[in-house]
Amino acid sequence: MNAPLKTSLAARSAEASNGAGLAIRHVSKSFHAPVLADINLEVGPGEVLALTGPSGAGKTTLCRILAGLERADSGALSLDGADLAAVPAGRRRVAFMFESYALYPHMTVRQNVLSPLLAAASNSRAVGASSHEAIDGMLDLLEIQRLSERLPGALSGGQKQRVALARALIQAPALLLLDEPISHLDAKLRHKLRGEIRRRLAAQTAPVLWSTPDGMEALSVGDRVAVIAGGRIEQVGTPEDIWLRPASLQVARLMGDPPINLLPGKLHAENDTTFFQHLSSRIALPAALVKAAEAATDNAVTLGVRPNAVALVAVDAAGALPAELYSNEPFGKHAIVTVDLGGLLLKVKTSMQDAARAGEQIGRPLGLSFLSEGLMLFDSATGRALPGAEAPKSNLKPDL
Amino acid sequence: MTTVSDAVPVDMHGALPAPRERFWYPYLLIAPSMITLTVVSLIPFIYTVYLSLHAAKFGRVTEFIGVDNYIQLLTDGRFWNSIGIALVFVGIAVPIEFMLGLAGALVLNQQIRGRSILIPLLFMPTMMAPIVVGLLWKIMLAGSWGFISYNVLERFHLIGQTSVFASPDLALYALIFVDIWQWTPFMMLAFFAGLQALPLGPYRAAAVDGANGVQIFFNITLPMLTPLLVVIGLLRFIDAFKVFDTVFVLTGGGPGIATETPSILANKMTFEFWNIGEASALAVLVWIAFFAFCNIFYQVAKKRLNAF
Repeated sequence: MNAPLKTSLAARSAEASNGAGLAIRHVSKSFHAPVLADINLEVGPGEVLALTGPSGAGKTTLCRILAGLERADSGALSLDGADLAAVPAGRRRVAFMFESYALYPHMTVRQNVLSPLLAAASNSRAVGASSHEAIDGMLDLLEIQRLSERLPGALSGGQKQRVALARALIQAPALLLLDEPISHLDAKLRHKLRGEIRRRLAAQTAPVLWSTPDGMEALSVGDRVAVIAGGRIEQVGTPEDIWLRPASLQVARLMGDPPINLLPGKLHAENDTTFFQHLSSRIALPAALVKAAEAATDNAVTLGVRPNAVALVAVDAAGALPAELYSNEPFGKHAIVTVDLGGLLLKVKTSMQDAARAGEQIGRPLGLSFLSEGLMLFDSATGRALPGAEAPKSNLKPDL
Repeated sequence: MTTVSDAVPVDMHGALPAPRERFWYPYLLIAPSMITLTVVSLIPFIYTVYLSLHAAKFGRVTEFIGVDNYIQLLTDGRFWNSIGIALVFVGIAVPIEFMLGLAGALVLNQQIRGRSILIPLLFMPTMMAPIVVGLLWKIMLAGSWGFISYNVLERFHLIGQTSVFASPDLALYALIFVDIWQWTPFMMLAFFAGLQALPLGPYRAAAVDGANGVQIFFNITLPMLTPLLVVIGLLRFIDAFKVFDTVFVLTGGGPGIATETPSILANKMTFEFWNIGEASALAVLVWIAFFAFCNIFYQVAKKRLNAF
């Protein structure tokens, strides 16, 4: 099932290098302070690039520059080989779903969804019955058909968001910008729409930029994911790259629910074994990380370990780190156990059975074991991943 | 033990006791405005209705005469003349003020230079007392020596007479001109404030969708501004119909009755003819007409324009 997607991705990036698709080169923008610094991104035709980062990272500004609502201070934009910056906003054929919805308050839901088609057609007779059918289909898909005659003022935030989404998806643009398209929907609808929108996007050829503050959403919707923080691109890669080989602490922190555990410490080599030492806890590094560790011996480093790569073991098990139970949250399908390791709180995502064995008694001693495949090393000073510290292809169970 | 806490309501937050426990509290809050309205508005109004149903001449209220005052008024050509004049006045002045005001507001809403200087200047005609506006234009348009009369009207032989106010054909239009001068800036600033308060989101969406200027004006700006346009337009309509000060100073209703609006006529009936009963009837009739008109207008505007 992965194979055709991979091929098409390869084909798409090949096309991108030929000038097809969207290319962002060295784009910078500052208002009073720098907002975007030297952004370089490529989005192939039909490719979905998920842009994720904390709020204030510059996602919306980048979308607005692409839509022509802001001008970049420097850098170049090209769409299908043509200079995009030279084209005024109204002629870029961009469909932009605004994070703030930007619905027309005096128009009904249906009129709002119809509006971009009317603007493009420049006279209402040109918008035929097929468009109205398409709108009906779109309203059905987003479960807002029964609201079609309401004014935006009578809608909830999530409903408005769906109207704005419908208004963007109804178009056949040259570039599609979705700025936090599903962030205000309830979990059930978000699940449904993630898949439905991906299906629709797969059937069209415009490059898509999907911005979201939710790292996990980015991993699920993007063919590739770009992580932006503080106006800089931290990493661009496939969801697998981003998840398994985060380029920096920033990237690692953004992904995962619960978030990744980060342990500050130092590296020591002793009798052919390299250890990571956090206070009195010593963790022997797996072979894959030793090479990276050699370069950074005695430097301050940070060990990253996903909550699903920590196991609860018997206190007296070989190599077990001594910890204490801090809290135990059962979720039914899995449990999240928080443990206290010498003053540092770590999250452990584990099975209900293991969590039950850990019990509820606060302060109870527990043993911790780190699964070697899930370990990542970062330079504490720069926040970058140590070179060669890339985790191998993981055999861990999917992080449910 | 419980008796104490029952007797003294414990106030956990240091706030006043819940207002709903004191039924008179809301009435206390609105009392000052209610008293003022009663004294300066309601009582005089009721007294006017009372006067309109009595023979009241030369300051003496004599006998109850039913609707005789109204019949007298409605059969008097002078009353209908005044209504006609007010309608012409309103029908020309208000639409022009409205259009010029809206156009000016759209210009102001662009990032034009010197806007911060222009706006206080635009307030000046509106801030001037109407009586001063009247005097100002009386001087400007005075026969022979008036600044505009001398330099423009006479120099280019634009009118036969020396003063526009002396011509039964022109006097009304001169008054309309003054009204437009006085009130267009107000309309402009009111509409400008409305434009400034419109949300930017729809404009951004329209810009991205490639809507042109005409589409944006008619499909976004105008509909979003409609409630304000309706309210300001209605207020100006009512106000212009009741125009008194400038007319009183500039023409006093003349020449003859060529500029005699209902307010001027009521004033003459009271203080020149001393027929207070009939003047009161006129005031009541105008009030009834506006009351009916505003109600119908409100209903229509609510349904058709999504205003209010």
